[in-house]
Amino acid sequence: MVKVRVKVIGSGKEGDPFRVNLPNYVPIPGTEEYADPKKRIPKTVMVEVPDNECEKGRPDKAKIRAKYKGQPRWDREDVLSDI
Amino acid sequence: MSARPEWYDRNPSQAGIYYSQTNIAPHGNTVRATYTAPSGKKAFVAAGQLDVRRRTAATTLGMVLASLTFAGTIGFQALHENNTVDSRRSIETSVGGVLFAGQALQLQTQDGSTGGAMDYILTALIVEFDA
Repeated sequence: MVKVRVKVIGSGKEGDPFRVNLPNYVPIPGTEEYADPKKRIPKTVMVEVPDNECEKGRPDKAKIRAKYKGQPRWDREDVLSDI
Repeated sequence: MSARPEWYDRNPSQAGIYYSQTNIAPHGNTVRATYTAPSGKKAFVAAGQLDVRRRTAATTLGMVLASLTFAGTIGFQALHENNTVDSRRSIETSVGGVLFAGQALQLQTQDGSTGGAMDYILTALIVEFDA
């Protein structure tokens, strides 16, 4: 597993949870950085990502597109644009 | 002519997801782990566990939940609304569902309380195999 800090998206509401836009990850507890600590709105978090989706310590576009080939959500040119 | 191997003999690998953390303050709906079935694969979700425990009392109690979302639909949820320290809500179950390529399984938590903190253990056992 590769450990990497990435951006958190979402509003924290039902249907739009705080999340990371990767197909396969687990956040590392206690590593959240908050945009607003009082409201606990996370800005970034460290996550673990499978080795076969990373290159040089970062999620890799080519590897993700290949692993999820043909899947509209992940096999696209802008797949890691919000990470 | 040979029969097609069973799913558990088609290049299987373990791909479980797991989240365990104590003393978590109230928070919005948050994804704690995500697994997506790769192309050319399917994934058998063998079992899941959601364990929620109150660690410290809330000032104002709200609904606490942990959920396992299966291909966009809530598979099962542990709902906890009890301000007694050490009160628990646990669900352990055999899921037995299959994720097709592109479908995802997520573990999520949410705590609508003010103040206080919870402990969570969430897990899903997944076996990935050739479609």
